[in-house]
Amino acid sequence: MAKTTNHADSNGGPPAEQENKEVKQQFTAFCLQKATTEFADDLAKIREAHDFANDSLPILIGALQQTACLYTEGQMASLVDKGSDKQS
Amino acid sequence: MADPPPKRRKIAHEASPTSEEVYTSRQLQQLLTFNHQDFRGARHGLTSFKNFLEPFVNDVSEGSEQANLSERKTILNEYLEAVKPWDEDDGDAGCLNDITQMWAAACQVNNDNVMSAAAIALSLLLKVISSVLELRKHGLRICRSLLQKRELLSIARNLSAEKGKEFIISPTLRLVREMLCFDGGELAEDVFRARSFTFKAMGRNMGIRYRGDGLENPKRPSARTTATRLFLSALKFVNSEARQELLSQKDMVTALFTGIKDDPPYLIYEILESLQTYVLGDSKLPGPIKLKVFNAYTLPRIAILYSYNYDAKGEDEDATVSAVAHRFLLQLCSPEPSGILRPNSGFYPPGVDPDNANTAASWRQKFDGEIPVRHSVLLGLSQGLKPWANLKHSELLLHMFRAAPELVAPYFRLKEAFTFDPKLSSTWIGFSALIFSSIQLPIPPFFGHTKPKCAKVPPPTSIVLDNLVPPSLTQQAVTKCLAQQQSNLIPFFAIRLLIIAFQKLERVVKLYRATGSAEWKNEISLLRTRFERRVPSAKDVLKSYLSVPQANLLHREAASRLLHLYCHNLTSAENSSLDVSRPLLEVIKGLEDEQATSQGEALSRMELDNLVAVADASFSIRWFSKAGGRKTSLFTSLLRLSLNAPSESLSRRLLSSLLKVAKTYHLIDHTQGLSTFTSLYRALESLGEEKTDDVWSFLDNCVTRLGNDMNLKYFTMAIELGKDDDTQSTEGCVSKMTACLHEQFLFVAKSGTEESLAAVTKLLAVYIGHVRTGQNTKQLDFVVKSMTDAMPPKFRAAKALKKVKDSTPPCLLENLVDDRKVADQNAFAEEGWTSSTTNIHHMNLDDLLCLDPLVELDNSALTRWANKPVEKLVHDGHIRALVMLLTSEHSSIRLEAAVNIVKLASKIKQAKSYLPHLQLWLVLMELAETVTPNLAQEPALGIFVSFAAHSLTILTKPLHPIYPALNKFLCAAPRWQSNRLPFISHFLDGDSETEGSFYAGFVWIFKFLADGIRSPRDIALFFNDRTPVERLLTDSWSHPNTQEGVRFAALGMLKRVADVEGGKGADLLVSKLAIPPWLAIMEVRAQEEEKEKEELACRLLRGKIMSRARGLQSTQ
Repeated sequence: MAKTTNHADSNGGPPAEQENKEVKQQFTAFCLQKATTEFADDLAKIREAHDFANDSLPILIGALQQTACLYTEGQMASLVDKGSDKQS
Repeated sequence: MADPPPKRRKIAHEASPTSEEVYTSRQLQQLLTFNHQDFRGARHGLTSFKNFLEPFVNDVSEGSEQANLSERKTILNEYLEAVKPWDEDDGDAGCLNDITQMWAAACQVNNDNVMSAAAIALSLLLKVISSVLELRKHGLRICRSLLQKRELLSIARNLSAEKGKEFIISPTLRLVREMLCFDGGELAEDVFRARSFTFKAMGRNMGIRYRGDGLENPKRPSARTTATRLFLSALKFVNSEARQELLSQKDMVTALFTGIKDDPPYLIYEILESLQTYVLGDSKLPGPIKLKVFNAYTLPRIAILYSYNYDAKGEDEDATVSAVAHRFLLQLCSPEPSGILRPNSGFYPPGVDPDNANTAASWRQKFDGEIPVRHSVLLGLSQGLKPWANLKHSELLLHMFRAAPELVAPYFRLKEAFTFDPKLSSTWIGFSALIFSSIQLPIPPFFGHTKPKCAKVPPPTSIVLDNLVPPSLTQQAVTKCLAQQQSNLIPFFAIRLLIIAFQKLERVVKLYRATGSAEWKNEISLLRTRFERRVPSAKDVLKSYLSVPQANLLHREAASRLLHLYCHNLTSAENSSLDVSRPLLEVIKGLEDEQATSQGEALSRMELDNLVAVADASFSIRWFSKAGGRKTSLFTSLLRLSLNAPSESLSRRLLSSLLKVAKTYHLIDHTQGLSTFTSLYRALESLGEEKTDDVWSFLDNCVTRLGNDMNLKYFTMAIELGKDDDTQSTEGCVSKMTACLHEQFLFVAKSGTEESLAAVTKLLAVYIGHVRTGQNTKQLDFVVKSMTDAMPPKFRAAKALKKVKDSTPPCLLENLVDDRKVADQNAFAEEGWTSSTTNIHHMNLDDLLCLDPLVELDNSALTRWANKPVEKLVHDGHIRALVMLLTSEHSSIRLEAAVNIVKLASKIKQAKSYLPHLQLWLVLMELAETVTPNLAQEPALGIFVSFAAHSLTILTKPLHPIYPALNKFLCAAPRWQSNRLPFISHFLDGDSETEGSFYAGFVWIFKFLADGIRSPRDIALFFNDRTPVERLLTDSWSHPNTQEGVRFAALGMLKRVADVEGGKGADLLVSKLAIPPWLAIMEVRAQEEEKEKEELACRLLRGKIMSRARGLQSTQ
């Protein structure tokens, strides 16, 4: 039952909301990719740190993805659009 | 040889049990018949019975075994029928009397084997019966008979056997569980009611664990497992009231959680599922009972399950004990009824009444140290978590924060010792991510007020601050993070944290404003000040920003964004002097080079937006200097950048900022500024590819000149342009920009190359075509003619200057301004300001400035004072009316007034009981002394009279801020200098005790001048001694926190000066004090500060002064 509801939500939500969600996902991916490029050396050092354990990698990825929260939806859309322009 | 000694006979203490196969019910009956003290036989019978029953509970699948089972069922049925009481309705009649007798007898003689065997046989019997529907009645009968006194004693005896005798305890626990669960818990409450027997030593028994290594064998469960299952079954089958009783048994609840981490997974699942369903899910169960179960002892034990060691290998991640425990804790930390959270008051600590403003003082500043919380148990649990190292811990903690926002501040206060000092480790990153998420949490509705509206008093500042900048983020630690040279990631993370904190501060401030309450609004500045003390200085951020590598666009953008937030939210002097010229030029260069990828370019453009915003707020930016070896100034570079970019990606903010800079630096004035700037922009747009370096160089030269020499030259030039050509009119004059472009064009025409002249001519042609609207057409014609004349005769492009007409659609700049207006209105509507701002555009200048009408002279005042008591003379305005007569145009009245003033002064001096009598006497006599010599020839100067009249009120109020300064002035000399404005220099040079008294003095001075300046002679005195006035005006606007009242009083005074008959005052305001440009600057500033009323007042007053000044010139 719960699964049916979720399914309905994911397909039945307003298109704008769905689009925003997609933009946010794309933008989060962009932030992650950009951050891993810009801070590659530091990230390598963290992975070698003595306290790097099982949960450390998802925590690190989650932390880098948080960057997306600093931007408004409009800013996200403008940056994501740029990316798709480039691909096309 | 002697016989060897006989072998010692081995004594068998425990003979192994014997048994026999059962074939008939009769045989079974015989086996279970108890002969007095024949425990061996009893054990034999019970063991045989057990063996007879066991096939029922073991899995049987083969046909022969099935047939055998059916046979056994018949035997069992026959046996039960045979042993049932004769009278079935007799509830007290025993059932299975033989077995219970054996058991009771065994208990008496402590025969452990029979005690155990009886419990085993009975529990097995009940288990078998519970699966055979037709035997249900027998089962119920047996259960009831077991609840009789003798049997209960046996049960209790077994349960309280020594701890080591698990073989007695466990079967008995199983027996009680079978009784309790029988027939869907039919007798559960009866079993529970007899808990002093049936649950005897339960707490202890729940602690008898498997003592081997690893986990126990599921087929041989320990006493703990069995006892726990009994407890959970009881929880399931009893009703809510009995459940409360059960959960109040502290020893059992404690035992349930003690050592849970060593329990087998299936038992943990059972425990958590039962608690979830029958405790958390029982809506009838009172909250306090739930809190008794989930207390400071039990919760950490559930949390220990996060590190459970005995999960089966290859177990699905969602089915592991830690995942199940996590889900359980998430539900537990939810609001009632599904969780244990009671309603909490968010940012308000428990026990305060935020709707009572009278008691607020006693608690508002009380929570700088420890903060009390309603959910101290959860706070304790949170302290044991390691959210920086464990994702589930982090998720749980944030869930708790979301459900109970009261926990955020105390959590981080207790975690203060957990230093945020930079260290490139997983722990630091995890902690940083946790703080980020904590700041990001939503603000509780109405800050936690229990009613759906904001309370009268805002929450304690320290608690709000802890939610914005958690105490772990000390200023020192974050500054260290920003200054990291070895790592880029650490400064980046610190910057992100500060950004999210600033963004939350903005949200809080907006909400504070939206309350509309003075109490809340007053809190904003305190909040900002204390926030500023917690974050690093803007200079540290700037330093960190400047050290970010050029290629790290994400990092650079974030740092520039943070600088923008500093400038926008914290208005300290330091934030107003950030010099971002260098990075600004670097970004412009990067964008001009167009080497970046599309997304990179978008990030750079955002960075540029941020930097421009910082530059807007900074006094250190040299917009009009050509720094860094560039060909054009920063202003022109930005203008060029905005024009060269494709229109769809044109940054609106960039243009908006340029417009603002143009206004601030007076490149354009307010009334014609937008049209001038738009015309220029359109002209540049229309040039297309022809925007050569010559054009940019020409334009840069013009804007640099306009920006750097404070416009006075071009302001005058704009008025004077074409004056000789009889172009005087009241239509308005051309803009300063036009004047400057005209002036510089003449040089280009004279000495420029043909190419540059052609390009510049085209630019100006389009510009003038557009700018015609709103500017003096005659002057423009003069400008066109003058420029045409200046060009070489053969140069035909000159005709273009006349041809271009304004027919193009509105350009982006106009849309931009419209958008801004709409945005402003939306913001006002959001803040609920619509009603307060709707009327001001319909108000006239006097109303806007709250100017009282000038006092009319009343000749009756000459005699009216005589009959009045001294005390009423000041308050009822009699003295004021009398002294004002000194300005009468009739000499007789003036002279009579002077005589009366002296008489009055003398009367007051004699009224020694009236405290201010001496000061009043002094001021009246000094006035008389000052004005009498010329009184016969001309009226007294309004300024002196007004000064005296306004002083009267002050002198009756010893607590007035300027009372001391005024008294000092009056004591200084017997008369006032006739060529100096009274008091003002004395006041400005004196020592004001406080800033408040200083500005109160300003207001008072402006008001007495506004009332006093009535005639051209007053104007002459005013401008003769204008230095202190200039200082007053400058000081009124120089301090960012000057109260609005001061500025309005100043504008009121200027308005009265401009009002003086003949327009002389207005003319002198333009020529001597250059007030209109100054007002224009103040207008822009008021616009930036969103002070709409002040902006409007400045604009109207400037228009008035200009029109009156021109009126005077035209009459001359």
